[in-house]
Parts: sequence; C-alpha cells; structure tokens
Amino acid sequence: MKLSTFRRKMLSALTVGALVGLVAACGGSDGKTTLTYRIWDEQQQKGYEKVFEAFKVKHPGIDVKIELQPYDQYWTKLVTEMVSGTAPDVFWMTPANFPELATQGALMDVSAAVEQSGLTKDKYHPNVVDSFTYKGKMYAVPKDWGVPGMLYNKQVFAEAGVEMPTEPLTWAPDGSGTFLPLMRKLTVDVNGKHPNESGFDPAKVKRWGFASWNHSGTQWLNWIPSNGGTTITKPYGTFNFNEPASVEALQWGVDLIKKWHVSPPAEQTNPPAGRATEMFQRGEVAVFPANNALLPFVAPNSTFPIGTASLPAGKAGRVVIINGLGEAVYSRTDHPDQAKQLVSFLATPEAQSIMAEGGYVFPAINDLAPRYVEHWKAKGIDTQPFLDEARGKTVNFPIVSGFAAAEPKINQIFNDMYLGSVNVSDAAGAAVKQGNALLKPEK
Amino acid sequence: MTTTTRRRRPSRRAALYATLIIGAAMSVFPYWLIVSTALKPRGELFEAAPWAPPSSPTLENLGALLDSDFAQSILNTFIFVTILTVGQLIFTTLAAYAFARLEFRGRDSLFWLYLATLMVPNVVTLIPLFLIMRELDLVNSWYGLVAPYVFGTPYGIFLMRQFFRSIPREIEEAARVDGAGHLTILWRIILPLSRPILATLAIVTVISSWNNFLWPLIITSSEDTRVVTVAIAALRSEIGIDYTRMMAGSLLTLLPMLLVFVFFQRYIVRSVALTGLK
Repeated sequence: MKLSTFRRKMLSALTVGALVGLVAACGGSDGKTTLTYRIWDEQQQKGYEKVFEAFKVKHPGIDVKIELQPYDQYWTKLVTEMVSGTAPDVFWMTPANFPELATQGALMDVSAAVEQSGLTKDKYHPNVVDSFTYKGKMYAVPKDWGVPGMLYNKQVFAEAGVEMPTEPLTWAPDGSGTFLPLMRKLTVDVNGKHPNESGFDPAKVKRWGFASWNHSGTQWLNWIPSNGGTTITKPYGTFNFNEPASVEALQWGVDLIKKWHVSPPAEQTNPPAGRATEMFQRGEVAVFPANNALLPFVAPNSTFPIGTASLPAGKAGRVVIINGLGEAVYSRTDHPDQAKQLVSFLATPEAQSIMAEGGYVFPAINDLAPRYVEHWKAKGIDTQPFLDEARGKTVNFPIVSGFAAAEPKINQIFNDMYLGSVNVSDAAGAAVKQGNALLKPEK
Repeated sequence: MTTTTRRRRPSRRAALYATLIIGAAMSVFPYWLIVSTALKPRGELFEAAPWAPPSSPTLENLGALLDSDFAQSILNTFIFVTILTVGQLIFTTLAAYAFARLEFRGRDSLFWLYLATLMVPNVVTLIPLFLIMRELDLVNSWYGLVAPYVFGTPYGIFLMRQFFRSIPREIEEAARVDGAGHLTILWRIILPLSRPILATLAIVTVISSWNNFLWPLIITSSEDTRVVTVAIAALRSEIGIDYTRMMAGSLLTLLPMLLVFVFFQRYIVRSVALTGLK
C-alpha cells in the first residue's frame, strides 16, 4: 500500500508548516531592552532583586532578568555559550576564570563604566580591582570580596577552659608560636589525653583542635604568603610555590595532621568528599578556617555559639588572600550601552549598600564594608576579624591564565600530599610542573 | 537425599532473604535520607547521625521552597512533561504505524538507521544539537527545550512498531474491505487495541522527561523555562550547601515520580519485557 500523492504532499506541508511556526513564534520584542544577569548564588538572588528595583527607577527602559545557574556547571555553560555567541549580557566573574576570558577577548572593557559610577578606583578594595584588571583596563566591575578567617566553637572552648586571645595567634614552620599550643589543648582523645601527652592515641581522637585540609582558598594559599612565600611569579605569569618558603608553609599544613596530630587525617577531609565543614558543625573540630561567605550556610545549622578570629600570623605577619568577585559584560552582547549602564550602577554605593546591609557580601566599596559587619552583629556573629584582615596585609588570588584548568591537577596532587603518601617538596614540584603546563602565561 | 534437601532449604532461604533485605535496604536508604533530611529543622541537621529520624519534623523547608521560584520550576517541569508526552504519543504512533504497516522503498533500512541512533550517547549529539538550536534562534526558549524529543524518540517508535506488528493483519484487511483508509484503520482499529502499550509509552516518557537534566541545563537559562532538575542543582552554591533545602527540593521532585511508579508499575515492567530496553 502506498500513500496517495495528495496525502504525501499534505504531510510534508504540515511538517514544514509546524517548523516555520516554531521559528516565527519566538521573534518579536516590545521596544524595551531586557538584559540578562547570570549568577550562581541562590541566597544573593534576593538581594539583587532589590538592587534591580532601584536600577529600574533610574532606567525605566531596561529590564533586568536574573538567571540563576548551578555553580558546578556555570563555567562550562558560559564558555559553551560564548563560543556560540549566546552568552548572557552581564555575569559574575571570579579571579580564577578572569585571566583566560579577558585575554581571549570575551569580556568588554568596563573602565569607563566604573568611572561613571561616581567613585574612583581607589575607593574599591585594591585586590578586587587588581583581580579584574588586564593591561591597565578593567574588564569587570568590582562587586564584592570574601576572606578566610577562623570560626570556632565557643562551647568547646568553654569546656576546654581556654579562650581565643584578642591579639592574633602566631605560627612558624617549626611549631613555635601561640597557635599550636592552643590547638593541642583543644585536641583530645577518648581517654582525655592531649597530643603532647604520653599515651595519646591519634587513632582514637574525640575532638580535633583544628581542620588542616586540602583547600586552597582557606589554607595553603594563606600559609604561603604568611611565611613569606609566593604562589606565582607575577600576574599573568606561572606558579612557583615549589620554592623553599612556600614548601615550608605547605609542610606546616601537612604537619598539623601528621606530626602535631591536631587535625583530622586527610582520609576524612580530602575533597571531593571533604567532611571538614561537617566535622566543625558536629563539634568534632573546634577551630575551622572558613571564608566569611560560608557563614550563611554554617550559622543557621549551628547548635553552638560561633566565635570568629583572624588567621594566625606567620613570620611575614598575618597575610590573607582576598577572593573578589566582579561583574563582567559579554563582549558580543546585543546591548553594550545598556549593559554598561547596568554594571556602572552595580558599582555605585547605592547598589552595593543594599548587598552589604542585607549581609550577603562584603561590598567592594571600602567605606561600605562595616555595614556587612553590622548585619551579622545583629545575628550574634562578629565578622569584624574578617574586615580587619582585609584591611591589613593581603594578597591577591593567583592571577594566572588557566588557573581553572590547573586547579584540579594541583588538587589531585595535594590530596596525596595531605595523605602523606608523597613528600611535600616532591608534591609541590609536581604540582608546579603539571600546573604550569596548563597555563598560558604572557611573555 | 530428602533429608539433606530439607535441611538445606531453610538455610538457602535465609541466605536469599538476607541478600534481598540487604539489597532492599541499600535501595531504600537514599530515599530515607532525602525524606528525613528534608523534614529536619536546619539546627537539627548536625545534631545526630545523618540517618537518624528528625526529632521534631517540620514542613518549613518544603514551605520555603514552594514560596520561592522553585514552585515555578515544578510547574515548568509539568508543562515540559505534558508537551513531550502528548507529542511522543501522536508522532510516535504515526511513525511506528508507517514502519510497521506501510510499504515503501527503503522502509526497513530507514527504520534500522533511525533505531541505530539509540546507540549514539546523548552527549555526543549535544553540541551539534545546541548549534542547530542556535541557528534556529531557539536557545533559551520552550521550543528549543522540547524540540529534540517532541516528535518522538527511536525508543518509542521501536516499542510501538513491535506492538503494531503483533496485531493480526487480518483485522486490518477486514476493515479495508469495508472501505477504511490508513488513518481510519489507525484510529478505529489499531489504537483501541493499543491502549496498554500507549499507556506504557506515556509512563516511560513521563519518567524520562521528568528526570532529564543535561539538555534543559544547556539549552535554557531563564527562570520561566527552568525545570526542576536544574533548579535543584542551582541550590548548591560555590561555597556551601544547604542540605535541608536541597533534600526538600529532591523530595518535592521525587514524590510525583513515586506516585507514578506505585500506580503504573505494570506498564513500566511491560516496556522492559517488550523491548528488552530499560
């Protein structure tokens, strides 16, 4: 049996008609410009809804649509879209991903937009500005910053009869300083013994003083500069954390586990499983190094009062790494002028004070940072130590082109280093070598 | 002889049950974690062991999610699933009937060629498909979201074709003698006989489109097209995870599928039995 010619024609006409209908139905606009604003943080979305209400009052012709994306797929998706020319108009940018995208021309120069916000560059945290500057021009407006400090369990401190001193704790690669003795007092095994007492059993520890684990942002990227070492040769250069001062600092991170027994074994804390945060929340770890951005996740789950302190100071002083965020404009956006107006507004005190007062982030504008502290004070958490750190000696998140590609490799090698299966200087050497192979340094 | 088998049987039975119980426990455990974590107040999350039941269960997490954009994504998933299921039933029936009963040159090779696309993993066609959608300007739209599935899938066509071929030709021939055309035969004779397999196809489509994550993630970005699988993934942030909220999201997503499974189990089993595919 065969289809009649008429029916065959009818069917193909129907199919084509349906396809044409599909394509036609998605055109059309109403004269207003709609910008997309891509983010990955569900909590901050509420803050930005308020920010865009304020923006709309000033720019009634521009609608802003927030697109929340899963963080795990954020960069893959963004790069796919950039390749095919469909990336969002404005999106969040990290120091880790910035150099590669900026050098490839995926981002628009927004230096003028920053100026139009009414503030000069020096009004923003210098590290955030540096993170998003390439060849003297800004390719993302400074949005906010986060900094690692220490969260501690006040209940455990009371039980152990110790107090967090007001002046910063100190550390040195050989174990001298005030930090280690305090962690020893807080670490206790099932028989009530501490790590420096005879009979202490590191296999049967009830509670650990500290959590030293393979986490760059809160751990070794801070130990290294505070011991006077460096992680990269220069911005847009290569890794060099295999030099003596840096290796000493990496060794210290491992020693806290293997030698001094004040931190849980890496079998429990290595990423991706990484139980360190949970161990702190369960009261199995007394002092936990964490970025202030973790507070909204830790504080509401907490069954004990949380205290805060700044990271201990090494021989180069207390030096912390600043992880800033920026807002970038896609270089091939259909609405460059409107997108620049939007990021210019996002750099104003009006926009950033909304985010600071809501306790979402430390704003990039220096003068507004205390408002974040006020928000958290009302919730019973003192975030002043984080602000003090950011106002003291700071270093930038490593600005190298290709960090995002190198990071998993380094992480993998450092997992073995924290486990103790590779010695520290070999691990550092391998990580630098294999990490550098994935970088695209500028000559 | 008989005594040994008798003696052996209870022990064998015990081993069998032990294995089954372990297997069941392992399958049920993740669901238990979802339910108990979703009902825990945030402060209770780290008080006891993760598998301990909530001491004061709360609907707060579920309520908070339903008040947010998450509710919209549940609605989107319902729309997505409905469009795909209706499309799949219509177009698959037509195609499967053509492959089963119409005679035209190259029919079987076309069918096997089409079926062979089942062998190509989804991820391989993902990028070309995305580029096609971009050329058609369908990125981030409902059309782009449903286009790859709404006109039927190889799996569905295979399932239906196999069933249609099992219907005796004599019935159709009798209808043809009475003057019925193809569409009349399909509508009046074949479809009424195919209700069970249509139900199976519908259920399988509902489940697979409900769970679809990768395509919606790639092709859509905005809230008005975001489906629930992507919305759950978005609850995980760069720096922390709110487990109670995430599990509440998983529970909301899981419930409709559990209901589908409980009520339509036999159709799901049938699809496996008929095609040998899961």
